[in-house]
Amino acid sequence: MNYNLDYKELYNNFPSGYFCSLPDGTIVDSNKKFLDLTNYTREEVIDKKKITDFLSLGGKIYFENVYSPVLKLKGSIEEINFNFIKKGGAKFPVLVNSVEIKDKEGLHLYTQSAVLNISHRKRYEQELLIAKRKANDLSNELIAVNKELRSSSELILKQKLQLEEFNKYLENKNRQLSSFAHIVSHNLRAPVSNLLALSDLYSKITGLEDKDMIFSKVEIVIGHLNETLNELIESVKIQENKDIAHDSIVFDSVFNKTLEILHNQILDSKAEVTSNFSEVANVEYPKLYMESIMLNLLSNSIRYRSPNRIAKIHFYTEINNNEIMLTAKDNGLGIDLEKHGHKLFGLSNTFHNHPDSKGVGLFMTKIQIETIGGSITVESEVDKGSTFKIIFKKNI
Amino acid sequence: MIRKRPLICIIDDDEIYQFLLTNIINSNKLAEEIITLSNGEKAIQYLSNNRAIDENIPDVIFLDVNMPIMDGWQFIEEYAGIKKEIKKKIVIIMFSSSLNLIDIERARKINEISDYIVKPIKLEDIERFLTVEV
Amino acid sequence: MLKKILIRNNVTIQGTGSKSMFLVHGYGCDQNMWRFITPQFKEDYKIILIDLVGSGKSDENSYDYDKYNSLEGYANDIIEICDALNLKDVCFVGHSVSAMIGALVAIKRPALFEKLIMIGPSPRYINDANYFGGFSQNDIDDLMETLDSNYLGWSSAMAPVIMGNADRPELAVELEESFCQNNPKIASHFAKVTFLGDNRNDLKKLSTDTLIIQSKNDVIASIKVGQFVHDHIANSKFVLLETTGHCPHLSGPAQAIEAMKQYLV
Repeated sequence: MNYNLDYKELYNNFPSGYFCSLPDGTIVDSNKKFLDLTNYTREEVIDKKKITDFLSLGGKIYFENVYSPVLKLKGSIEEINFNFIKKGGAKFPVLVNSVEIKDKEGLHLYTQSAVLNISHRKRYEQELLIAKRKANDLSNELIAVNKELRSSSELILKQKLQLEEFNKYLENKNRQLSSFAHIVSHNLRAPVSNLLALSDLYSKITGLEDKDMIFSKVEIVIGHLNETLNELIESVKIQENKDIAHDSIVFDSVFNKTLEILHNQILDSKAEVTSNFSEVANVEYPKLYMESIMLNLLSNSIRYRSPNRIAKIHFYTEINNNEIMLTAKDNGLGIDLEKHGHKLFGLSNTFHNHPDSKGVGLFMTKIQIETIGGSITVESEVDKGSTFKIIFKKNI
Repeated sequence: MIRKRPLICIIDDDEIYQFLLTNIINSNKLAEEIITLSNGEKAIQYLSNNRAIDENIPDVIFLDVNMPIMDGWQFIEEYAGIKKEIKKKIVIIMFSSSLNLIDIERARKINEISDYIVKPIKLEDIERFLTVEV
Repeated sequence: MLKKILIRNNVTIQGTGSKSMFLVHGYGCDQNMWRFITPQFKEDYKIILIDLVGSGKSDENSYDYDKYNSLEGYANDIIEICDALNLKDVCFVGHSVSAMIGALVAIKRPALFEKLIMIGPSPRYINDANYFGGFSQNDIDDLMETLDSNYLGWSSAMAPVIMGNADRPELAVELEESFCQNNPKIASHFAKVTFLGDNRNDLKKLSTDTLIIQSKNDVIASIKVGQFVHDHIANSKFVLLETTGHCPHLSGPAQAIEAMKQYLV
C-alpha cells in the first residue's frame, strides 16, 4: 500500500532529536526537534557546531575517552547518557544513539545520532538513587544497631549466668552457714550445760571420792566437746578450701587401696565386695577426699551389714546427665529415711543399736563433696540395703 | 494414806545428763525410784513389756528430744499408739538442750506432752513437776 | 608466575619481528583501540598488547585500590611483564595517561625502553597557577557524574559486537567481543587517579628518546599541554597531526602510523 510518505517531513517532525555529523564532529544536518531541544536556530548549528559543543568539559572527557573509541571500533553506540547544554547555558539530560555511515570501501562518511530527552526519566532516576542510598544507609544502621543489640544481649546473658552462679554460690554458703549454726547450737550446748551442772555439783559435794568421780565425768564431757569441736573446725577448713588442688584419680587404684585398708574387716565379715569403673575410669578430684569418701562408704556398708545374709557391696561409676557419678550399693540393714533421713549426714548421729556406729564419716563426707560443687544422695529400704550416689561435679 | 513418791523415768542418751538429773532428784529425795533408758526404742519396749504391770509404769517421764535410733518425737508417736493399753496416766516432760521455737510449737500441740524445758533443768522445776502431779 | 601475569593483564602477542613494540591504551578503553595500528607493524615487530588492570579483559580480581591509587602501580605491572617476557630495547607506545605510565617505567628502568612514543600525553589535567591543564576540579566532578550515570545503564550500553578479524578466525560468528567494557566502580577510581594526578615533576627525569604525537583538535590534551610535555622532556620530538579528537590512532590512523614510521627508522 502506498501511503505517500514524505520521509523528509517525517524526519523533520520526528519526536526525538536527530542530527548528522562529519567524522570530525561538525553537524551538517539536524531535525527540528533537535533544534527545539537545544534552543538553537538552524543557522547557528549547521556547519557551525560540533557535537562536543553541546557538552560540558567533563562530558567531553567521556566523549573522547569512551564514546568516540567505541563508536570507532564498533561502528555504533547506544544509550549513552550525556548532559546537553542548550543555548543560554541550561543543561538537560539525554540518551544518545549513534551509528557510523560508511561507503562501500568502508570509509567513514557521516555519523547519524539520535538524541532522546530524558529529563523526567532522570528525575525518577535521581529519586531512585536517593531512595537506594537511604535504604542502604538505613540497612547499614540497622545492621550496626543489631550488632550492638546482639552484643548487649550476649553481655546481659553472660551477666545473668554470672548472677545465677553467684546466687547458687550464696545459697550454698547460706545452707552451710545455717547448718553450721544448727550444729553449733545443738552439739555444743549439751556438753557445755553438762559441764556447768557438773561444776556446780562439784562445788556442793564434799567427799574426795565423790569429787574424783564427778571430775572423771567432767573429763568425759570435755573429751566429747573436744571431738565435736575438732569435727566442726575440720568441716570449716574443708569449706574454706573450695579451690583445693585436684589430682588425676584412677578409680580402680583408690578402690584397691581402700580394700587393702579394710582388708581385715572384709575378711571377718565375709563380705563380697565388687566394683566396675569401666564406664568412667578417671576423674580430676582431690585425692584425700576421694580416699575418705570411699573409705567411709565401704566401711559403713560393711559395718551395717545384715546378720541374715552375706554382705554384697558393689561400687561403680557411670555418666549420668553429663555428670560423673559414683554409686555404692549394699544389701545391709538399710536406714528408715522417713524417720532418720534428716539426721543421716548430721554430726555424730547414730541409727542403729550398734556398738560401733558413730556416723561421723558421712558428715565430713557430705561437706567435702558439696564444697567442691558435687552432691551426695541416698536411697534406702530397711532390711534391704542402701545405695549412696555421689555426683562429683556438675556439667563436665 | 501417805503420799507415795513418784516413779520417774529418764529417757536420754546423754549418760552424764542422766547422772546429773538422777543426782538432783535423789539428793532431794523427790522420787521413789528412777529408771534410766538411753533411747526411745528401749523406752517403748519397756512400756510395752510392762503395760499390764501398773506399778512398773512410771508416773513422770523426762524425755529428751535428740536421741539416736528413736528420738523424742518418734517416741511420742509410738507412745500414742500404746497409750490405751496403759491404765496409768504418765506425765511427759520434754526437754532439749537448745531453745527451738519450732519444737516448742510442736510440743504445745501434742496432748501427751505436759511441758517443754530447756536444759539444764533446775531443781525448782523438777520439784514443781513432781509435786503437782502426784 | 608468567602465566599469572599474562592472565592478569590479558597480554596478547602478535607479529613476527625481532624488535618489540609494547602498546598500552589510555583511560576509558582497552587494547582494541590499537586495531588500526598494529597491522602496519606486525612484520617488523613483535607486538605486545595489554589491558591495564581494571580495564578490558584484565583480571578484575587483581584490582587493588591501594596499589592502583597512583600510576606507579601500573608502571610496576609493565616492568613485571617486560621482565617476564624478557624484553629489551622496547619501543613503548602509550596513549593518554599511559604515556605518563610509560615515562614512569622508563625513569625506573631506563634500559628497558629504546624509544617512547606518547600519543596525546598530559602530565596534569587540572589547571594550576601558571599551568594550563585544560580542566577545573568542577569539570572532573562533572566527569565523575557522567561516569556514574552511564553506570546505571551500563549493562546494555556497551553491547557486545562480533569481531570479524581475519587473524582470529575463532572469534568469527559465535563469539561476541565487547569494547571498553569496564567495571564502573573501577572506572570511577581509575578516572580519579588519572584526572587528579600530577606528573609534571617526572618529565625532567626522563632521558629516553621520546616522540610526542599531538592531535590538532584535542580537548583532553590540547596543543598547549603537548608543548609543555615536549619542553620538559630533554630528549623529545614533537609532531602535530591534522586530526580531531583525543584518539588520532582511531580517528586518523594513517597519519598516526606515518608519524610513527618516520620516527622509528
